[in-house]
Amino acid sequence: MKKMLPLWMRVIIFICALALVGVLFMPFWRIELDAPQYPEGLLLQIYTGKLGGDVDIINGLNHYIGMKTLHAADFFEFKILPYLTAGFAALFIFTAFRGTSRALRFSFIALLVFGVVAMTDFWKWEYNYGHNLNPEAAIKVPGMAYQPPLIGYKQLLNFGAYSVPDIGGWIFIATGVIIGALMFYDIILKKKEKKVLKVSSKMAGIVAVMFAISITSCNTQPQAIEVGKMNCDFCKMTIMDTRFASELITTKGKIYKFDDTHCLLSYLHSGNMEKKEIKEIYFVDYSNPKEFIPSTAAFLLKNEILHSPMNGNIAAFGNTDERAKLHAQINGDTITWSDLYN
Amino acid sequence: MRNIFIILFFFTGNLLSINAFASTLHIGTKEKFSAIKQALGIAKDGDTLIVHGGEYHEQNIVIDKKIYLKGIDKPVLDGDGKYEVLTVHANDVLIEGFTIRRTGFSSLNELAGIKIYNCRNVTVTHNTFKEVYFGIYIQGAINCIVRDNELSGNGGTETTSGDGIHCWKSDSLQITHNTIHQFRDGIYLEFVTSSLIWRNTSEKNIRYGLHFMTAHNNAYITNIFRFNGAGVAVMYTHGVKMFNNYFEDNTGDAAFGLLLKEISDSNISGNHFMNNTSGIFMEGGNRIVVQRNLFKGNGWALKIEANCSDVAVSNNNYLANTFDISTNGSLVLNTFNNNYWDKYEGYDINKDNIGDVPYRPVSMYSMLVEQNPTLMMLYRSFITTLMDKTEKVLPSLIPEDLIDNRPLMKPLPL
Repeated sequence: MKKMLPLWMRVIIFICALALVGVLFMPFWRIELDAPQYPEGLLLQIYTGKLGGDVDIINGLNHYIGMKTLHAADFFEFKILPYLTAGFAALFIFTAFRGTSRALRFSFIALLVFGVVAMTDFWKWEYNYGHNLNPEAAIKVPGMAYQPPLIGYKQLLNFGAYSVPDIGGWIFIATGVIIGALMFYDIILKKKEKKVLKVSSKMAGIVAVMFAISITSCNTQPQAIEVGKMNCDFCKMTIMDTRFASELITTKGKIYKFDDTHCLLSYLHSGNMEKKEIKEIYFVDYSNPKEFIPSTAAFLLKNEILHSPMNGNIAAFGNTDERAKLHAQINGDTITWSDLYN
Repeated sequence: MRNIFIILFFFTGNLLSINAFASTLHIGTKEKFSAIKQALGIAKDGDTLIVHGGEYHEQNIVIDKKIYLKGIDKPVLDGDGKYEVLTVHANDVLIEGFTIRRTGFSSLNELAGIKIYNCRNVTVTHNTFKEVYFGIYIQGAINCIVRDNELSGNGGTETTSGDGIHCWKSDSLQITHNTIHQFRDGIYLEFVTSSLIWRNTSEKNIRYGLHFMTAHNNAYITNIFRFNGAGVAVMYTHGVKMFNNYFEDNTGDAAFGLLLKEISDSNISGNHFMNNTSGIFMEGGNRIVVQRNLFKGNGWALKIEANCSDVAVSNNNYLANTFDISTNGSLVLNTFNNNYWDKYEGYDINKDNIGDVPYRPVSMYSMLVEQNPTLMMLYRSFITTLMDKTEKVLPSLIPEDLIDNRPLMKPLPL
């Protein structure tokens, strides 16, 4: 025997459904670009079914740095988003008429999952858009990616980029919050069903964690070194031999690359970088140059025979067995990163 | 007088004694010896080994005697993709007229077409190297000559390519008139002193045409460096003489005609820098003369960082470069007088061929681009012209001391 939701709740749900229909016609998300040479700023608006704002100007600018041009036709999302939004509106109307707690819970979880999936998809698109650059571009900034922020502010070269929900997005968020509040209120009303609370709070927890991961999972990983294309950030030499390379990642997510431990140490001692700005230092694994090892877990071997590009002559390994193999071949000193820098 | 006779007697006597015992050994299919190693085994110091045409697969041949190894009709010494071909560690060896090909590759042992180590007076001339990991590898050697060779790399990827002529901890080398292409670095010098690199052509190398690391007091004269990742890189070195070289078409992201880092007491004169992304990039240079060079059609003719001091840039021609000079700070401890700048718009009323108005070769826009490379997208736009004009009225960004007080009205005949 299911107890019906109170009438006021169902009315609110119905209003939410109507608001969602409105979202179809309003801009959902906005990315604002601010730069001195555009006093008015540039605006990119994302509707559920199309792009709006200064798309042509932005395409024109991005062309120079090798970013893909934006065309609504290229996004399958624009084909399905209007239907999804309309679908949610329909689901809410159904919930309002059906009036069961279960329908309410289902709508909320569906909306939450949709939100997370949509944001993840949006981040992935931003990542590809900012990283897949045309190698033939007129202007190339080594190591630069132009990924817009998911939410909030980020400096991209001379542009400050703000990414925030637009009217439609706010309505969508408000809808989610209202429906969620109603659901929890409903659950609190039915204290007998404690299990549900546990389950849904667990659900909410999982969703929240997923959401947090999707936001923070950018730029904390070392980046693969392109041999013959990237330059060492200290000695300016083209990196030709990745076996001795290392990467320094700052707390802000900027990555510095070095072709040799000598350059990494010189850079650290040059006074350009405070210790607190360093998030992590990674070494390339000498025995497997595609892999990176965090400096804290690296086992180093120093020997002049190694002939590294800048005479640091230090090889890094992820475990002592690999190091012992080379040590048996060429001898040398076994050291750790803390012996060199602390 | 009598002393001279005694000396002459000793001298000719010595010559005779060598000739009396030196013999010539022939190697080939129709000769007494069929293998070089066989002849080497019985050869004595001072002997001549003549190798006749054909292919020789003898794995690694080690020369530890003072001999003259000569190829007739370009015999081929083949390393079968596994071995180093010739290894020399005896003084006074001469190797001439071979085709040396297919050395092995190893990431730990630097296998070469010819390796010369811990000896002196070795000469390598008129050889052709093909598909080699390292071409000629000289280590701990003194007074060696590498002349008239043609070297081409294995055309492999960056990691499987070695250097064309790789010299390490050596002194008084002469590297002249070689053609080097498709290696990692064409010529590489590390801890090499008092050497001459003259009349070589080094092109299409993946990284640098010529690469110095802590190699002091060397000269490189009249070489051609083109289509390399970057032309020449000189690092942590003092006393370099760079005369009359050609740095051409070294284009690419962050590619330089000449990359200088931590250089002192050097002279860069009479060179041609044409069509490079950056003609010269200088960081941490001290007491350097840059004169009588031609900078033509480069993106940046001369990038000189603020940590350089006592660099005298004079009597150069700057023609059709996007930016003539760029720097990254307001501190200038260098001089830039008596150059010809094609962008100079001053006048010369007293007709002494010196412009009456000093010239500042750094534009505000180039300062901004240095800090913010993406601004290049506004190149030649109205806004940058406006900024440069504003800067002329209210100077704020460009370094005050970066000035040519005596700009020339006509290009120098370089």
